[in-house]
Amino acid sequence: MAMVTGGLAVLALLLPGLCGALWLRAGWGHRAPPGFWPMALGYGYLIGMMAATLLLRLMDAVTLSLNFAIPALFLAGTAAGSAWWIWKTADRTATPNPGGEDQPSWPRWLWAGLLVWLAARLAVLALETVWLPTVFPWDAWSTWLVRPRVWLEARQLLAFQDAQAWLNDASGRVYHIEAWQYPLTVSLIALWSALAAGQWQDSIVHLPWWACGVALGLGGYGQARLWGVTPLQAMVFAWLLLSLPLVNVHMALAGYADLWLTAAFGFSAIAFMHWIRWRDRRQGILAILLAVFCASIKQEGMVWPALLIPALLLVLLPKRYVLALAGLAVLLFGLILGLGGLGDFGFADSALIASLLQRAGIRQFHLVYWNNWQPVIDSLLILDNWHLLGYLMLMTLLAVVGLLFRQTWIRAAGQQRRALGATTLLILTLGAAFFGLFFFTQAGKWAEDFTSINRIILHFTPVLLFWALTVFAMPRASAGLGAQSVVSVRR
Amino acid sequence: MSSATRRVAADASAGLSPWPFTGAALVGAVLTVLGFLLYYLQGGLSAAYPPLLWRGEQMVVTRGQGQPVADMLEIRPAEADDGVFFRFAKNAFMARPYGELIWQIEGLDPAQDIRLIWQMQSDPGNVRQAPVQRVHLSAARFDLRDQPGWEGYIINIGFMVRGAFAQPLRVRQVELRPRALSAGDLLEQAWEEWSTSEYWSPRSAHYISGAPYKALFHPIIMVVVWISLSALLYGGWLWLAERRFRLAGFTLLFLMGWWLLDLRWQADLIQRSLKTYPQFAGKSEIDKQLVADDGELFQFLLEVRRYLPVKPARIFIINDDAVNRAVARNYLVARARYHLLPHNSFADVLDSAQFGKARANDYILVLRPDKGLRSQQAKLQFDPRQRLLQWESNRLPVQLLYRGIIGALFQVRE
Repeated sequence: MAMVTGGLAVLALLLPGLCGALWLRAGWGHRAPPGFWPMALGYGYLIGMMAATLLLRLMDAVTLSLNFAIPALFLAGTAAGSAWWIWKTADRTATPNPGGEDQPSWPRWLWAGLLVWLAARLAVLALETVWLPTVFPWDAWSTWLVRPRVWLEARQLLAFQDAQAWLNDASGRVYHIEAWQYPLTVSLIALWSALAAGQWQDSIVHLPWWACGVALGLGGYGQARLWGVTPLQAMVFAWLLLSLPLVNVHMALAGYADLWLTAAFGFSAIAFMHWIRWRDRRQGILAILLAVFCASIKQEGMVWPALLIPALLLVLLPKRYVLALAGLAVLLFGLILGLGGLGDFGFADSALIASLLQRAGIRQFHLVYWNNWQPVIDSLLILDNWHLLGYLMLMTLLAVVGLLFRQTWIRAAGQQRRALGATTLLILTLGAAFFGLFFFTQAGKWAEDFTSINRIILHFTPVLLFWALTVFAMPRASAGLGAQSVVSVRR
Repeated sequence: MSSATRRVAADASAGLSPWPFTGAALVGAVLTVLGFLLYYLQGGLSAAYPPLLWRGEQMVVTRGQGQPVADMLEIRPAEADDGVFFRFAKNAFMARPYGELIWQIEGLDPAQDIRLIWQMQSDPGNVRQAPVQRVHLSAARFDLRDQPGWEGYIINIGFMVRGAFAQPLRVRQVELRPRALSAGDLLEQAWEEWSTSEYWSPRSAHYISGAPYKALFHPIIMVVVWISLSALLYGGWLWLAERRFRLAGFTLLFLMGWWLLDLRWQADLIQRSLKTYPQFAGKSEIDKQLVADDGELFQFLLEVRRYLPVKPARIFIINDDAVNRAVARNYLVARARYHLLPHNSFADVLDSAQFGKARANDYILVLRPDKGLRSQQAKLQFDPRQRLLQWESNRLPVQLLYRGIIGALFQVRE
């Protein structure tokens, strides 16, 4: 019985990833370039999980009793279809290995060494994930894992509402938690594993979090290879990402939503960077798909995809329009400060603007300056949350400034330079959002005791590291697009 | 050979120069360690570890009753109790740099059993203690340097006093003074800081300190200094040898630094696993919960479950201990709600009006984590003769189903 339960739990873990990978392969084209399959497995896991949660929502919407079999069969069926399509259409001619015979062996040994190092890390984390009960991660047992336990019992997505609704409810089928408004996706991910096992077991329900971390590493490695860097450089990137202590903690202490948002937003932004650089439509579609997934994970996930817009505008619009928009943004910000200052954003002395904001659905909130430099410096540069990531970001920024203004590079690089400008703008937008959040809003009060500051940084770490990779490891051509990889920019 | 020719020849053998690179890294490491040692030996230690001073009003009385009197804290034992325990304000610190505890406390009697109690971060379940002898009392100071167990990162420290109290204790202040450390002591301190492991806690998902917060040899700082010095040395060699500056060497230094920190983190994770394994590995779901931090609550709730129906029922969960509620941010009721799933519990009962909305056949779980010690301050009062549960003006007819040490379960009658 335990073996059957365990087997089903493993199936619940592998099926979404396999399906997602096959869907991606089927839609990618005739040839799978170097790095494709790790990317497909990583991205595929998130896409597959997204599909699984959608199927559960659909089952509930048509009042079917929730179970594992029906969505699993559906996923398996589509995976089989994709596999058949791939078999039918794939180009099977071997890709020549350019100069493979003359390459030194030390990069391969180092690559293998890093792989062994990562495997050891993942093994330790897997043990912690399975052994630990849900006791340390507060948000897990107070929010994200409360709902699936109820749904598992009821075999339907019973409503969670506010306190008054619970107190007034006579049916006993309305539940309440403080965070009852939070999106359902992460709870549905836990429910998926529990449905497969047919019972609630912490060790089984925790596994998707560990798998999400593995998917993060695979997807990152694959995208790095598709960018055109060497296997060793891609493995170094994956190692840097999976070595971050807080990434590891969120794998071991399963139950927070932040790791899923990290993977979804990270994958979306990395695919977006691919699109900026190589104008690969497939990457553009991936970016949009994962951005939509972000919005269903956490409330911040509804905002983070919007941070891609400035870079998108920089890429799409002619330079004069971009400058005009930037000027408008500065003017608007100046107007806000000039009218309201750093105080109540409701503009006590400007009823017109206050009513406009209310109609736009922006409730009043306080703009107050929080002097949070010390917690930010501690988090990024002193405490070991991120190893040397903070210092890497500072050096990368300096390198970018040097590159963008280096005359020889200005003349020669063209599209590469414009893409670097756009991806750097993306990073700066993330930085501005972080700064605004923790220095000017109520979120600032949680910075001092580090309650949320590092979890926000966590969401941005994959794209920060990928940006650094693109600065320090310039590819010759995109592996994803082959030799035809330089695309002119519309201006 | 001209310098231009020499440069071309040097460029021809471009790439990493292994011996100069290794030399720069090793010399950088030695300079880093020496630099830190010299800084602390020359007086930097007193800047990093100033004396710690706690005034009476900063003390927290966890056993006994305390009240401020003038500029002191007056502590006396609670009724039917013969002891007091008060801890100094909760700011954690490394033990090794501190040597001497000096206090200004009136009312201590040599006939009492007086102990200094402390707790280490790496072993919080094992409370350390040292008896305070008559000679220490008369001098009002205590040398911690040779106390077994005075090591690691101290997260809690206080005095336990038991016996007859002819007069209340009056605590004016307690001071912990640093002591001089030798180079050997400092190196031991460095090893301790680098090898410390803090185990999992509810704050782990928010940040990892990596070393005690005010570590003398914080890993991140040391590695950054090492990388910087090594890069300067290697860069200096490249300039002197008229070699081209290539990114590879500096990138490798940076990655080596990252790997060193990752090695430390991997060791930390393994230590955590070595603690997790005996506590949780191979156990059933129920046994895991019983040995977890809130195992006592879980055990109590296992008994409570026997009186609940199989089908999910509505349960009001009330933490009737105001002190615990303020300290623990309603941790207890939220944990109780989780353990009672899939029962439909309401864990946010804030006032008697919400309590008054309970209907017939609803359940009410009253939690008393103080185990009745502050029962006179409890908001809910149960009248067993009339079988009424009352909170302010709201009274509910109830049946008492189960009573344990940390709480009771009631069902609302018709």
